Amino acid sequence: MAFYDGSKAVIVLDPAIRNWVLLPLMAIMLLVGLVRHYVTLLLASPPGTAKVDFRDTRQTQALMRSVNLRRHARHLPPDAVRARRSYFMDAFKAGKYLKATPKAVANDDGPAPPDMAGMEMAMDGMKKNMAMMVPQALIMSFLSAFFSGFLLIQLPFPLTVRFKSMLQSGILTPDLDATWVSSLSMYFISFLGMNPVFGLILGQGNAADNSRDMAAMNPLAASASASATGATDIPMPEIPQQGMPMLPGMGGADKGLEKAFTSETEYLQLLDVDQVPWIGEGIEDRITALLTARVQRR
Amino acid sequence: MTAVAPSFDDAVQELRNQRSSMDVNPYRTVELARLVLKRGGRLGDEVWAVLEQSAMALLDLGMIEEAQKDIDVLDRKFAGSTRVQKLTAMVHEAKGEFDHAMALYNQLLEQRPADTTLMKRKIAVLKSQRRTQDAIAALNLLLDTLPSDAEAWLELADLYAGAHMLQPAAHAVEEALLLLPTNHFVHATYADLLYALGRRDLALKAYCRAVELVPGYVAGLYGVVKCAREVAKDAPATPDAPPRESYEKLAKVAEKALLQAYDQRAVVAGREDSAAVRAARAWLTGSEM
Repeated sequence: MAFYDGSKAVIVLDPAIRNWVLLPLMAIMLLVGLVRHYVTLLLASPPGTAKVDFRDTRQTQALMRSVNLRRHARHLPPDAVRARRSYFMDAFKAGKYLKATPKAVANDDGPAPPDMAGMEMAMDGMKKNMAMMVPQALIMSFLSAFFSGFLLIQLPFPLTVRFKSMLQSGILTPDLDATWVSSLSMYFISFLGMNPVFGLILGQGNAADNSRDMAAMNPLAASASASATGATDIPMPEIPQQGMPMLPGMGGADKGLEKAFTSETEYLQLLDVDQVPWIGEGIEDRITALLTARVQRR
Repeated sequence: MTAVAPSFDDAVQELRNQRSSMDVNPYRTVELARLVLKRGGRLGDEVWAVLEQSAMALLDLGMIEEAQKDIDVLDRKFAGSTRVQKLTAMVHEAKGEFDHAMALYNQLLEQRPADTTLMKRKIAVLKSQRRTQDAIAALNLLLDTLPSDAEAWLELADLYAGAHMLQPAAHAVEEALLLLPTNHFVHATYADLLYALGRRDLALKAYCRAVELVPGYVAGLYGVVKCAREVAKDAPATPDAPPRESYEKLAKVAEKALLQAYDQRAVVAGREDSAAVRAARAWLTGSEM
């Protein structure tokens, strides 16, 4: 066997690595995903039974309604927009949509009374996060305990040296080709790529999806995706998300919403109805042109 | 109905689309569901959703025994399910047993307090009982908490309009418009109400918007013709308003578009115009009032 062939060392892996590390690793990842999926299904409560405090919903929905008004103002006649704008400004200033806050919170001192429905939702969220995080943490510690310090696999395509830190966690050597991957890195990469596999096995929308975990772990990504779906052209007040694990006793969400209402009122004030490009402006001429073109084409 | 029956896969896809659309024709649903359920085994788990869809459409058409058959199948599979019980309550509604239905909905709401479809069914019962004001009050309460439901706003507008309360109806349609700004049907509904309120200039703009979104939209085109003609007749008041000729031009080109649509359909149908179509053509060409 030639261990040195002139330019670089030839590395040959023991087939035992493939049999006892790579294949079991893949099998474990698959099985853990499947178990996660079925456990989530078992834990999930039937729709509509979750205890929802409608006063929370009402608050957020009122805010969304105002944001929607600003976003789609150009589709309504200006008078309608004006009427709604003044209604919302008055209603928000008077706190019409706020959940009635007990005096303790308003005073800003001392802990706020625990919010029962909020806690239920927080528990539910934490339960789900546990189901996702625990197996991942377990597997990672298992891997680093038993399978650290050797190469697992060589990638079939060439890579630049920049990938070494990503692919060779635990075995950093200056000379090693970046295409050699260590077991921990292999786990990470496979973890990121398992979604299509689960999609094939479990169908779309399965609970082994880790894109939601990614969002939970990375708040930046979450807010980026949230703003990508909505229009990014209008300013939005920051609405504290419900369902995030909150410590019991945190009345912070309520205060956050009061601030959101205040900022939304300001945005409404800034909305100049005369400047809104109403679609009804000059629409008769547009339609005349459109229909003329259509009629002539036949 | 179509001359050629759709293929199995097309039917399944169309049923799927109908499940998420508001604009549903129960005859079509029943036709498609019958086709699909004959080979229900091929659907896998989707067959339950199709059965539910079919049951609801059959109830819409008053075919209660057939709907009950579908519901029995669902009941055997999902015994004691709230969703199946909701269908049973709808059967009571169809039979006119409103108190029974209302009691069942209240009971189901205790198990599922956050289920908005149950709340909406209760409002539907009030509507069937002709308790319009109660229905309006209940729907307003629902919309106060959950205002992002366009279907509910449109239903409220319908209730208000039926009670001749046109201004609140217009207000409700505006809310629906803010939620579905590119829906031609909502624009046309808004235009209808504006016309009834006497705001023909605004109605014309709304009909125009409906046509802009869907250029072949016949209801929108008719609205454009009618409003443009009338606005042209009531000569514009201010000098900076568009001249009457521009409205007449708009009316003319919309008339032409409609007549062309009739011509095309006559070619497809391959037979003479019915009396209704003849009357429509006469109205459009102005040889009638």
